[in-house]
Amino acid sequence: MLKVSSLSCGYGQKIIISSVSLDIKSGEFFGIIGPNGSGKTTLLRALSRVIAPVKGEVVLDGKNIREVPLREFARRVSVVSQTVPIADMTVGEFVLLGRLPHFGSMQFVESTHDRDVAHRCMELTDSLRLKDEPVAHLSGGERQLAQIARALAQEPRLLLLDEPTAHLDISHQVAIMDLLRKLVRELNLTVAMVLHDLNLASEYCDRLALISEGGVYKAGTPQEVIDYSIIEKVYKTVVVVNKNPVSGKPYVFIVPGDELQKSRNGR
Amino acid sequence: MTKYARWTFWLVLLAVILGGVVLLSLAVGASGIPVNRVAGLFLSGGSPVERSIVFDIRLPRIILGFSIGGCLSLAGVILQGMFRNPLVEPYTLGISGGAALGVALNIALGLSAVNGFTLPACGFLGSGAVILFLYFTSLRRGVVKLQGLLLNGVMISFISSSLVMLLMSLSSGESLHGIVFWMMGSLGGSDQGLTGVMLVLSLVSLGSACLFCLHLNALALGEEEARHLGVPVERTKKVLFVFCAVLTGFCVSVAGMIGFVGLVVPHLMRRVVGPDHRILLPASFLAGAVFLIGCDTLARTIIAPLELPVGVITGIIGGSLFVYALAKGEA
Repeated sequence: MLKVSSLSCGYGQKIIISSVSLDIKSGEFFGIIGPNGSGKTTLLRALSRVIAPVKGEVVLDGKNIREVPLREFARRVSVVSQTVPIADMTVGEFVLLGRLPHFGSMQFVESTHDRDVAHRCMELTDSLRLKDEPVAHLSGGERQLAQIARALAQEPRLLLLDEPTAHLDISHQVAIMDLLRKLVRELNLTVAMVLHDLNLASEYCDRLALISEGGVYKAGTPQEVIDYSIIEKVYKTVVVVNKNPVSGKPYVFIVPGDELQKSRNGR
Repeated sequence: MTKYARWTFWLVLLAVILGGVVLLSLAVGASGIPVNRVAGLFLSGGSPVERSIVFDIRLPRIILGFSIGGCLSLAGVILQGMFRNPLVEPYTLGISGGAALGVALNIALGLSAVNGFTLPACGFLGSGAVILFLYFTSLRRGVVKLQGLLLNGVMISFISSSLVMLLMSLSSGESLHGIVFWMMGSLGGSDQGLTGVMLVLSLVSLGSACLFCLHLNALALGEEEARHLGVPVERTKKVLFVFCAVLTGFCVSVAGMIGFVGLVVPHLMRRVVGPDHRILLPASFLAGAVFLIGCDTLARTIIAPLELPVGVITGIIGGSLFVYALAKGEA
């Protein structure tokens, strides 16, 4: 569905991502992980056309994304950014904005169909109850739900997310990730997201790409990528990887410095 | 559907208020003509003196007030929406400063005595120069940097107002008075042809601004988000900036510095009708027209037969309204 081939990009003269190749398949839950400053978000911004590649290309359904008209791109790909823009509008109006790419060139009011789609997306994301609330009054978790509802209103095939679970407590993290998994399974949506939390990534994603210093260090299933030797090398931190007793997925345990010292001394 | 019903209600209400203010403005003045007689004048004869007062003196002024009030608040709404900054107004960008400098130069050099039409022409040249300067200094690799644009604009405002002061300190008597009076803004004594041009311009610009209402709604989320919604952000910013700049240039060249309309009216309307630009644009246009015609009527009646500069009235009333709305909004 989305094919990245030897992509290099950055801001101005500064190259942040260099020769990255990825293949995100249709109906896949794809995670992009990596340390701070490794270039995860930059990669996502290149996928969502915010920054232009210096070298290489991003191909969506067989076509270079630079050649797809903006509106058409917005009908196929929607983006959920890390921070929700605080705009002076209600959740209902906010979600309806997601219908913009589907408006005709001389259409200025939303049709019944547009309202139905927005309604359904709010239902799906459990944000219908917030419909008349101003976006500014929502909690962090509710804002993410509203964001995802707006992204879904675009009726995309690919959803790109930049750390949607950052700053959320575990119950909201699980709720957002469960929702995304449901979307992938039930609507056959493709999801590619940047994640900070290795354990969430391991638990939910079908495949992962571990980014290190602007390149793909390792890509594959969580079992292949979340390996203690790989994680220790990329994050330069001692970890223990074990299995989640319920799901059987790899789980990363951190090791505090003094514990490490103790065990070294004991040896 | 209730949303559209509410919008229609506000537009109708504003149109009715506009009609009322226009009638009132036609009726009052140095020689008062009762409202029922004004209505009569439109249908049939009436005395030639009254006809002349209403149609040759008051009506053109009202039309100019309508056009300029509408244009200034339209530009205010667009700029505030585009910059996502409620303090931006048409005059913040230094365009009016450029126009003021052009006009002040004209008066100081005595060109306007040769031909009255050179006054708006110089104003427009001044604002045009500022627009070009701002546009090209804020353009970096095809991207318009809005924050830089804003800062440059504020600086140009300061520079040009200092230059105007310099001109004022060097000129004397009549030309000094001319500059001061022009700076305070006035709807009176404008050429009939120019009034017609402004009317057409204002209606056309209202229509074309409405084509961008959804772009502006999306821009409320930020530039990157708007792009994700398929809005061609860079093109929209460029078009809207030039649009507002030219509109402001026209208004200032024709009527001088009439402040506060472009700042206060969009604010009040945002509170009244909400932030959706599909209603905010036409509502602000109408409200701006009402506000300026009302202020102008006050300006020419308070100490009739003498006249106050309308910019003084808009400043006092607009500023007070603004403070009131802010205080009420926080309570």
